[in-house]
Parts: sequence; C-alpha cells; structure tokens
Amino acid sequence: MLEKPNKLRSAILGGLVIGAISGIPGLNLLNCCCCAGILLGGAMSVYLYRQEFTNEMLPLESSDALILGIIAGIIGALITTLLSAMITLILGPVETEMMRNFMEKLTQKLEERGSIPQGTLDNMRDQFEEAMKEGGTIGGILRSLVYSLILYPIFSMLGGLIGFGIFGKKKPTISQQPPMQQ
Amino acid sequence: MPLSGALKRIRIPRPTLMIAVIISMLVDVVLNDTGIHASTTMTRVVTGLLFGGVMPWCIIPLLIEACLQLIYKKKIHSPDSGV
Repeated sequence: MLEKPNKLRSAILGGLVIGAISGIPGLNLLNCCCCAGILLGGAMSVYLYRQEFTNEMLPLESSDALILGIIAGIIGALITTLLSAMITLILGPVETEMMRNFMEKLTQKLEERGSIPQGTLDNMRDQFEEAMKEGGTIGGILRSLVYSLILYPIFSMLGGLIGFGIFGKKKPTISQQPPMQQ
Repeated sequence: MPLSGALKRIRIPRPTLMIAVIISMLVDVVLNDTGIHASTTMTRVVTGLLFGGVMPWCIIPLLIEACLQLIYKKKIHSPDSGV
C-alpha cells in the first residue's frame, strides 16, 4: 500500500476558497448563513484531497478530513484578514458602508415590526458604530485575526467532516488488465 | 442518542439525503434574497429542522471516529508503545 498524498495542497486551495468568500465584500454575506462559505471551503478541501487518491493508496479516513478542515480554516483566516485589510487600504471602507446599509435596513425592519424596544435598537446602532470605528485600526485587524483563527478552523473542520460524509468513500475502479499469456 | 443506538455505531446518512437538506435550506435563502418567494418563519423552521435533524448524525459519529483515530495513531507512534 502506498502512503497517502500530501494534505497541504488541498488545504491551501480550501483556504483560498474560504479567504475569497470571507474576504470579498458582498460575497462574505454568504457567511451569515451558518458560516456557509467556511463550511464550503472545508468540504472542498476534502473533495480535492480525495481526488488525489488512487486504488493503491491507504483509504481516506475521517481523521484526514478533520485535519484538512483545521488547516484550511487556519489558512482561510489568514487570507481573509489579509484580503480585508488590503481591500480597506485600496478601496477605502467599502465593507463598512455595505454593512452600515445592511444594518440600517435591518433596524428599519425591526422598528416597523415593533418587535424590539427603541432603547435596544439605539444600543445596537451605537455598538455597531463603535465596532466599525475599531475595525479599521491595526488593533481591530489583529483582534479580527484572533477571532478568525479560533472560529474558522472550527467551522472548516465541520465542513471537512460534512465533505467526508458526502464524498468520503471512493468506489474502487476495476482496472482491466490483459490476460496473461502462458 | 439513547433511543436509536450507540454513538460508536457509525452509520452516516446517505450523501443524497445530506445534499437534499443542504439544498432545501439554500433554496429558501436564495429565493428570499432574489425576491422570488419570501422566506417565512415556517419555511425557516422546516428547512432548519431538516438540516439540524440530519447533519448531527453525520458530524458527531465522524468527529468521534476521527478523534479516536488520532488518539490511536498517537499511541502507536509514541515511544512507550513498543511498536
């Protein structure tokens, strides 16, 4: 039996997917749905890793999916932070404005329905503005990196396990060899 | 999972079922965001229940299996194991 392939390539590709989804403004709203972008990146890294297996290799195990997910999450967190910082530096606070618009729409809906008291809404707005002010500073970026380094590997690991559940078992292909001549 | 079997028994749901519950939730979100059909509390509860009802049966046994594999491998490779 041959050794398993190296995990790093698949993990980097999964991390790039996570970084692209979470770092690009607008696309990162996908993560509002149960961190779907991060789960997708973890699952994709397992899918890509499974493609590298041949019949002569040891089978893919759930522990491989777990490790792949964690590595992809760490890489994704680093790429996301880097990409967000670069986008803020180059394009200005695009993401902040998008989030502000999103927040305004949300609070407007909540106000119309009357499901939240006025004081709570004001507190929400204040806290949001404070968070947005801190987000552009170096301290804010570092804090975001620390949170990402904790959360992304967890969700990416879950994505990796879901990916293993969906793509994990590779059906063995029967290679047709010519009959031996005596 | 005392009512339906031990956690050690690994029998994960079929991939088609897992894909179906993921897609049902995604369809609800996409239809709402595109303005084709408004997502209601009922649709969110139903799709969320489907997702939450199927996924733990995949994630938890695999997570336990993966952790056991890692612990077992560590024991084999440790110098005290004699292997």
